Amino acid sequence: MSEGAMAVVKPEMKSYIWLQTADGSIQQVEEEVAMFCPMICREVVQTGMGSSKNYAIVLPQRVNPPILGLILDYCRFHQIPGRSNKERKTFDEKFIRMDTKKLCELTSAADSLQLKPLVDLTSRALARIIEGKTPEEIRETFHLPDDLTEEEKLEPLRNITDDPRIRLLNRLYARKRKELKEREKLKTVEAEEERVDERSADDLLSYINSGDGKGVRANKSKKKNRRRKDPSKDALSNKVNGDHDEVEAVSTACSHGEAKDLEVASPHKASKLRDSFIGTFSPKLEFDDGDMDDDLDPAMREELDREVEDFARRLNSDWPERMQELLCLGPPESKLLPVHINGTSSSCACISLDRR
Amino acid sequence: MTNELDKISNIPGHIMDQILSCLPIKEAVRTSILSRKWRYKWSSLPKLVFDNQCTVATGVPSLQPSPNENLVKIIDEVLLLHTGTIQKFMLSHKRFYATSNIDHWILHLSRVSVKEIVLHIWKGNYYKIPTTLFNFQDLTHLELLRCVVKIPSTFEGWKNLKTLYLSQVKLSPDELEALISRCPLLKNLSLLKGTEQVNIKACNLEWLSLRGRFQDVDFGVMNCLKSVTIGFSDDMANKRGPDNANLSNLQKIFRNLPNIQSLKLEDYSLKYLAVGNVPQTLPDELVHLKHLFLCIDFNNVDEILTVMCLIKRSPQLKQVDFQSRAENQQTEWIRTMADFWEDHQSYCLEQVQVVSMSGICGSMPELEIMKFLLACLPKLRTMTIRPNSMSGEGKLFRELLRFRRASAQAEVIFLDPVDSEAKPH
Repeated sequence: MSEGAMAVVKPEMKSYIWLQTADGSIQQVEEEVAMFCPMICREVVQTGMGSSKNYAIVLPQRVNPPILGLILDYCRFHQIPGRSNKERKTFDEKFIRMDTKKLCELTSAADSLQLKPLVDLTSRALARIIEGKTPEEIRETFHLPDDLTEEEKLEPLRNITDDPRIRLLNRLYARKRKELKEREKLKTVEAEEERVDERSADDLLSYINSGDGKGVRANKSKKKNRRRKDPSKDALSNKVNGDHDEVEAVSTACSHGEAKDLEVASPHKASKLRDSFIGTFSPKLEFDDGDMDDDLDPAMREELDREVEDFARRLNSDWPERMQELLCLGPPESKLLPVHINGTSSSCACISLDRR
Repeated sequence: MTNELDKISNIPGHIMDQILSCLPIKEAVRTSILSRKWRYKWSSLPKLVFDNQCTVATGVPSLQPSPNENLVKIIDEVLLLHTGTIQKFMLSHKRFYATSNIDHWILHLSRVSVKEIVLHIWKGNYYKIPTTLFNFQDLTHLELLRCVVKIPSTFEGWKNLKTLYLSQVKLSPDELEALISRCPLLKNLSLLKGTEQVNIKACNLEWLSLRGRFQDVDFGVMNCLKSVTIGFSDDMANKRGPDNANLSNLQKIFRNLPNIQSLKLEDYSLKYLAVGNVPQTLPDELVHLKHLFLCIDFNNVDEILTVMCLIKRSPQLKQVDFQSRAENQQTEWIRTMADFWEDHQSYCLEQVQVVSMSGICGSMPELEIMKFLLACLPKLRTMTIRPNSMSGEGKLFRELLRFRRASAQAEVIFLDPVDSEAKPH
């Protein structure tokens, strides 16, 4: 029978199935379309439901009316046996063009109706959306809250996301740190007294412990700065060397994951890196919350800001040429050797950049 | 940002696994930093595939750490952090050298009921499979490349193994036989190099592929076998008939494969089958054979006779594909071949509908067979011809146009030559 002839057929000749969605509304659907869903098919066959309005099949909660409409569109097209594979593929490609929120709802709904072909289609579509995006982009696309603390982000999955870019970033940091130390040495000659941290190890410990704990986001970058400051302190004040060893040991123990905080989980954390990066170069040794960067010359700070931004930008842009460029900048660091920042014997567990 | 908008985090776990399975493993694991809910979504990934994508190296190659170290670390961490059962573990990295770490991974996999293992060692020494692998109970699919398999005496078999692909795995014929006999459910078997003599006895086997420098093959009775691909990559130096002198190799092979549906004879396999007295006919019909692929030397009378025998005994045969193996065109055979075809004019091969010929260069033997086929196939629908090169095409066209056709609906289709330098128009 051609399509035209079908239209002439009286409505009573077609049989319908009654479906009830989670919001209580009931609708009738052509039988062959509804039966394309295994779950509906089973309900009809096993329990006989769906034959009239009073005995509508109750659909799972995830299936609301608009989503049901989409699913039925899909079923309506695919249940016709005569379609060619090419036709089906073309339809599918057009069908999944919808916003990601709907796509997610559709996936869940199709799964609850056990409509496997649609589940496969939507899963692949979602995977395609996720693939190739940075974490920020993915969060934006799917409206995910960025609710992991810094240390949680850095927990042992580093190696999976290990990236030669990060190693290079580390090396750059190392070089910068060295440079800074030269400058600091000049500075601290003048104002060494102020630089020396007179607090006992206990104080330091208790401060660290209070600064630890569940990620209060405002503190996180500062916490990282404190960790990183330890080695620079060592270089400058031998007096508290012993204390520092303890401090470092504690800090290492507190957060084994954190210690490698330069090897971040994503190369695109440029902004966060920058925050902590700036703090690192402050020669101030007190564990004050604020005013970290005060002692830095505004000029120097700006310069550092600029350099890091520049670097971050380059990271995000075309990689291979940049790699070449960067490698030319500093020969000693471009070898893959472990770089220990401070000359003292204290365990550089906090900073050991290249452990490969 | 409210939770209302975040629909994806609430997708059921098994669907999330499916979505993450579509991503390369690196990206799937990176989703762990998206948000609190996503921290461990990846850890139930059913399939772990470690390949070149895992260690994408950019920049100056000499400065890259060895991918071995990287890959070892990655696999260690992934296996450690993974939860639940693993369905498939695949390691196929083109720059990875076998190390003892693989032993540890296999031990770990034995504890998580892995079903599919694919292990390709592309570089360096062959990897010796540890004995723990032989104790896997749930294994259904095993694929090995460049490994050494020494079957322990305590090996009871892989009771659930359905698919076994061994490429360049050194096994003696006895060991291979022992291995196969202890896998009762084996359905798909592929051997690529590694053994020279095979005797396959697997009663549930449905799909078989043998490619390598074989000297001899033998099959036990395999009633379920539907598809066979045989590729003898070495020329038959000395024609050795089978033990039973009255039997040709052809008969020897096919007496035990009654239900075969698809047969592919690559390289010198047809020459092997043609050894011995080529029979006029086979005792049993190959009732289910539908598709035949042959790599043939059109100059070799024995081979052609073998093919004719096969076609005659296959009432359901729909499609025959020829690929020319001849390296040199011997023109002195023309007369003999022409006579040959004269004698066989009376053949009527009713069943064949699709024929294809590739690697054609327009020599007389090829033309003769094309003439023959066109004249003897009343149900022919298409004959597809792919010449070797552009040169000589004109002559080919002219000759073909002359040939009589038994089938009024036969289409003769010319494809672009195999030789890619000769681009048409």
